[in-house]
Amino acid sequence: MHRDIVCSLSVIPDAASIGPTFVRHGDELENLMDSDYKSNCRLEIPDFHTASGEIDDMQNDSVTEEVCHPPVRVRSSDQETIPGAGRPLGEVAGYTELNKARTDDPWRHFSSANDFNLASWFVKSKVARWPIDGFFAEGLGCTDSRSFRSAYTLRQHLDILDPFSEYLVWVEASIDDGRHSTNFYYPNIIDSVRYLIRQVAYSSDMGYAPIREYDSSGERLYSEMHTADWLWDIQV
Amino acid sequence: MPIIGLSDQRHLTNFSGDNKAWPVYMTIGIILSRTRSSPAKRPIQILALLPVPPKCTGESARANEAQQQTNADVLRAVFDLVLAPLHQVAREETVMDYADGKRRLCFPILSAWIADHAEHAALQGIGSKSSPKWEVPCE
Repeated sequence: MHRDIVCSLSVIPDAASIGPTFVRHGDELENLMDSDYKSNCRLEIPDFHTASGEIDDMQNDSVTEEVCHPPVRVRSSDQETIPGAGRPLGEVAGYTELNKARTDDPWRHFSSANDFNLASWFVKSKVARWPIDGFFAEGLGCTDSRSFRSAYTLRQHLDILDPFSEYLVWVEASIDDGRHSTNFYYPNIIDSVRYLIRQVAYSSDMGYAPIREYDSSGERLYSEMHTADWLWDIQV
Repeated sequence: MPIIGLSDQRHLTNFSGDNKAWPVYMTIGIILSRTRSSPAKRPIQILALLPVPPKCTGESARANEAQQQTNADVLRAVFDLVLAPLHQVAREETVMDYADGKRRLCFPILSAWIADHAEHAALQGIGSKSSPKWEVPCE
């Protein structure tokens, strides 16, 4: 989805932001395999039960991959952590219910898998509004069970897909420099942080606490932000 | 929780008076870079659309200077407003919901700003031949 569209629609994230949790497992695995960052196996395995299956697969795959190829990447052999850093304080209310609802009915808000795939294809291929409207006007997409029949109703469907969209509320402010008055818009930065760290799609791709990584010869390894000294020093 | 800010002025058109858009984005540093750098996973949120003030008044040199000063003040006021929630939260602990279903303490701190040199110069109100990082000693 083009960035400009996001600007104009302000509170509306599209399907791609939450789609990866249940439709793009293949892509996720590919990305994991391409990554140089190997220590993710030690990150906390999320509770989301489909995701844990995924991670098992990934670990098995990475073992076989290393057998096939000579080791060209440095692998961290040792990690140091701060005791108690990133410890959980409790469960997120409604987390298991939300994930259960998603896995029980993955096409929620759509009438069928076909319905979802069509919407997904429209969004991923960045189809403009008029071809979508034309598609339905020509009767190409008309089955009885279609849950959207125009670009407008598709957009409305995408709006309700994001369970965390309540975080992204835009505030209007005006600036007056004495001669001109200008309006501008911004969301609350803290709510944007809350929105990002709640995304289930990122749960296996987060460094929850600072770590120090060392390779087999004891050299310090720096890769992600949470392996750097800054985060370690600032941890309380 | 390191917050990363990004911004860049974007020239939209030469017609109807040199329109520009000036978006500011944010993301968080604890997302691993393979996800943070992937546009498909949309890890970058828009933080503000800055007002783009007129560069010059078209009157006198003195009026232009005053306009530039006003623009700098406006820019500062806007950033003060947008980043204001961070002042309090960075010092006090906040419990946030994390993606793995756990609640943890969180101290969001603005820690990095990704922008090109022209953008740094515009944001910090320095000339384009100055260094935005540090004072360069004379040799």
